[in-house]
Amino acid sequence: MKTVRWFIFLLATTAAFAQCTADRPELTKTLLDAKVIDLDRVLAHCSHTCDLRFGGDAYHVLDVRELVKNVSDPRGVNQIVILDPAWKVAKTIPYIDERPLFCRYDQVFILGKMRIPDSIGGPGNVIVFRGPDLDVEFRNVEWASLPTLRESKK
Amino acid sequence: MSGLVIPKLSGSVGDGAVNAPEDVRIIQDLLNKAILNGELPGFVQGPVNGKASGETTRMIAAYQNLRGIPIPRGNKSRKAVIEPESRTLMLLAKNPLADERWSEYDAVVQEEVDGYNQRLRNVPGFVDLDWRWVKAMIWTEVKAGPDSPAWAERPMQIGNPGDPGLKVIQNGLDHSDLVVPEAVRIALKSGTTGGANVRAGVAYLYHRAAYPYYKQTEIVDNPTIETSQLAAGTTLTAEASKLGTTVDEIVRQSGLDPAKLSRLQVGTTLKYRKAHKAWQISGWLAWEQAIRDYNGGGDSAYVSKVSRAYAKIASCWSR
Repeated sequence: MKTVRWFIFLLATTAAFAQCTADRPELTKTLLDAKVIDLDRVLAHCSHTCDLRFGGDAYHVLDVRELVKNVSDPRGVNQIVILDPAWKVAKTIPYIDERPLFCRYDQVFILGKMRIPDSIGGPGNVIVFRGPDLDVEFRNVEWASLPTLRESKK
Repeated sequence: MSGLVIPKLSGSVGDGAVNAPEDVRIIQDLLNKAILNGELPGFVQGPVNGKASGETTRMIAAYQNLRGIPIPRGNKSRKAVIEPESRTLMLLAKNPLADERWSEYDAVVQEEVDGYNQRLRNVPGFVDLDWRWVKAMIWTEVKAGPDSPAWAERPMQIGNPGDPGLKVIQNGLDHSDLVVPEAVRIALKSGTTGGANVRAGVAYLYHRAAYPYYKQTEIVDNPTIETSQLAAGTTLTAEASKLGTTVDEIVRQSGLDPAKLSRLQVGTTLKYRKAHKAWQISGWLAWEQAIRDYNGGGDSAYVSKVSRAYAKIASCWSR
């Protein structure tokens, strides 16, 4: 059973790795050059979550999860990475087992609550980005207050 | 670290065996530890009194059955007996709760945890860490224990290739210098194996507990309010630096609109107190969350694994 689980895990990580390295070599290079990801780690997941909007500019939000090989259980290095319109790394926000879900204007909605050093507010499940340095403010939203698909179509 | 120490028995213990009281005590203690380690389901700990009761022999039989230990050829009546230097005795002695090798790092863990607990007690929200959590983390990080080369190399598994944690601690990055003493950081630059790896791991754990609460705070150096005029060709940031204060202090004391700072008129009166910004620790995570963060989200079951190890450890070692 354990072998099967490892096989599934390896298959999943290999697929995710291929997604970032083969399909998106430019992206991988950008992240490596910025030392966001590391050649000695397993790139377990790398996806484009959504785009933040500041005026007319789109900042790309990536969800990047890496694993450090350990003798028993792997250690995670998980980050929300913000790329500016020129695809330069503008900010990284480490997380543990939360996940970025979607963007709305200058906000990223998060599964779970998080907090980072020197941020305003928090722990929160919405990150609001402020100013040219993308300073972080955390807010909280009740998921029940968000519109359903049906409600948003009205 | 030397190899597994198997207790010496003067004779056999069990059903119809020699049952010298000291030997029986040794076996009863080992069986109790096997129960605490979850190796004998359905049994509760019994007395360690040197008397080979029916319950003691039932435990021996169950243990040998669960471990698949065959009955020796000479034992035609299939009685449950533990002979000196037998496989049963070796397996009982290999239990982490009985095998002293699994406690190799206890002294360094206790020393480190005591030091951090004493130094950080004035931080808001800080609660003393129970050293047994770190012991449980070591048991989880190197599940195979002292038989694994990783046990001697990196018992806290910090500093493996690609792991950012060790560099953070060694170089005081991410404000970890607020938690980890300089002497520890310097010492960790000359070696991170064995006990030093434990020191690095403990340092990283405390850093993780403080991490979300590192905050830049304004420190007022002199309470006297002073005034100045904004000169031509300068910025508020440059002016604040020249006056020995911060932009936030000027904005607050002068009642300036933060949204209009780039459009300030030359000659605007700036009020301020001498101040500077410094990083401080403004709070502290619950230890369970810090342990989760130590793993970084690589294994979603990490905290429950550590908690299970902790429960066993807490049944044998006191705080």
